Amino acid sequence: MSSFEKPILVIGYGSTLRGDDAVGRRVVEIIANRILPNVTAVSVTQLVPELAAQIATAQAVIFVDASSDSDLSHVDVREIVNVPGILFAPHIFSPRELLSLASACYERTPPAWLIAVPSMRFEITDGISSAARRNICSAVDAVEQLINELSENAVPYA
Amino acid sequence: MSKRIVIDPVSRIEGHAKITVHLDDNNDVSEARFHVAEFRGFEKFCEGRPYTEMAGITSRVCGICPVSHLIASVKAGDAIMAVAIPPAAEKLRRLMNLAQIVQSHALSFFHLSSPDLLLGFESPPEQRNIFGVANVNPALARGGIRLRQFGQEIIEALGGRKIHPAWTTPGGVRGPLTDEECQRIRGRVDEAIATVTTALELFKSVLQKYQDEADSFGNFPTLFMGLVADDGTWEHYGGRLRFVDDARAIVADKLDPYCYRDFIGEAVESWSYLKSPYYKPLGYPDGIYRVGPLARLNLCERIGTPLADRELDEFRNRGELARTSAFYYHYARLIEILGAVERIAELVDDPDVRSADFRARAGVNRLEGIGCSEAPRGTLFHHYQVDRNGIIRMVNLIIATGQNNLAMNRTVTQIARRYIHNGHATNGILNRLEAGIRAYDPCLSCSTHAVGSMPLVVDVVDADGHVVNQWKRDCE
Repeated sequence: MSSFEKPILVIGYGSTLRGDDAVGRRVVEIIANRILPNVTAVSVTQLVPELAAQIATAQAVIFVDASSDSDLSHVDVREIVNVPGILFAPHIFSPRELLSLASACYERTPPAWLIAVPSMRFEITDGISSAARRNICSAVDAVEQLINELSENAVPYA
Repeated sequence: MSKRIVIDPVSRIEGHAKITVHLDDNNDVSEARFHVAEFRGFEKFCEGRPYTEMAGITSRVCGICPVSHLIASVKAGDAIMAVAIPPAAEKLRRLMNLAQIVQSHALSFFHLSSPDLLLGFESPPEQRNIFGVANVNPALARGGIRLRQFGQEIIEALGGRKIHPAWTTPGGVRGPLTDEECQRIRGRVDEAIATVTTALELFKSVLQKYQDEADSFGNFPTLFMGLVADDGTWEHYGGRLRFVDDARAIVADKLDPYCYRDFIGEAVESWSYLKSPYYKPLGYPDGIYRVGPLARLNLCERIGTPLADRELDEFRNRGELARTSAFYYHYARLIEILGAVERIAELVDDPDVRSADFRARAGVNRLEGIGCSEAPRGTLFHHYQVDRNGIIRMVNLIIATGQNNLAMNRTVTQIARRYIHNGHATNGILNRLEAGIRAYDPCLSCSTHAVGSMPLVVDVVDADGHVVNQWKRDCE
């Protein structure tokens, strides 16, 4: 893989003070420690407009977030498609809105995925439940698999 | 039968509030009120905590201006320790406070207020946000996002993270900048200056178009208060307090923030959780005064940096309206960003910010401490009393937004009287009422911030409490 390729951006987000809400950030911290070439790992409390600039220059974006969906029994990898042109500026940005903002400001929307990590406990604590902790390993595997697939299809940075 | 119009919630401000417009029997506006409907209670639940924790606790008041609370809190802590902090610590704190002013003002102008100015007060609500700005002027939206990022990255370089950095501490700071960090900050200064210069030109170009709003958005005489340096230069960290009137004549000068209770009174109204501070010698409510960007420009002799001083000269040549209208807070905010960026450039070239002598250490040497600094929205006071073990026994916080409370209430009344006739309020008029508040960029001590998608419901309620009419603005 060439260092001239656009980076793959991995964004994990959530509150580290709300139990399992931090799983996305834990996943990204593990990815960051592996120092993968052409991968930029970002750990944030919440998605903010400033990320749009980084998103616009990325080859692809992988969002990692905790999911409170009780029907979700395993890590879910889903491509984010049909990003709308213009949305309301919301109180809290979602991946789709950030991608939309990148599109509006920079006329570019990279391919993007959301990795949803099943999570159960969102009480005020800095600990992650054992069940969610087990899902972190699966989520890291899912991120790495996506990175490998994207790297094989990488295009030189223009 | 008297009626009232209610705007709940007010959008694109930090926190939760509502506006009520009271109509008389002829359906003309009798008065309007800005209600802050949230309550935090920091002054009470901080009792019993060590004073050394106060910076970390009080900075959680808000996710937009945590740095402001850090700075005021550690200054109160310095006073309790009775120490003079090292020069490097003061310069590093100044750097962080300037970065905070840049990022917060950028958020206010580019994200929250520029949609009204670019797209018009009558434009569809779903377009009045950063997406709408990006649609009509993507370069401005990009610049605004990058400018806020510039301030946030300086805060992160100093404090380890953008929001709630635990870096300043009573006695100094926890670390200096590295050469690489200084170079990285320096490398983005030109872009930041270009962005704010472009925004200033844009604002000046639309001023004529919004003359009616400039005339009626909080355009009335008040006092103005803030910190100034000993030589009258614009100040944000140290200095003494000054009051001027609407002609910029000095009313009181070189006031020690430590004696704030001698000249600032705090009134409470039953319809709002926001206190209403006033200038004591004039009493309540005649002692109305304003703080923040417009106040600071009215108070100072000069900014002290070349580009900002040039803009300040032009600003002052615009006459009385530029001194008294809240609409000019936007203009003042942009000039302050320019001055702050210039000062940041000076500070990162100063070898002191890389010094290893950045912290004084001491125990409790005084049982009371008052910290005062300029937050983006105005002067901020933290007042603590402690016991011999440094445990907090009393806290009083005077927040900038509270000091603008009387003026914000008078502003919504002025706008309501100017635009609402026969009880009829269009969407554009409701937006102007909100924009009048937004000009002050109030931060209602909330750790999240609204950026424009909130639905708006305006109820017309008769004297018996019955809803007789309702306007709705839906999200989608």
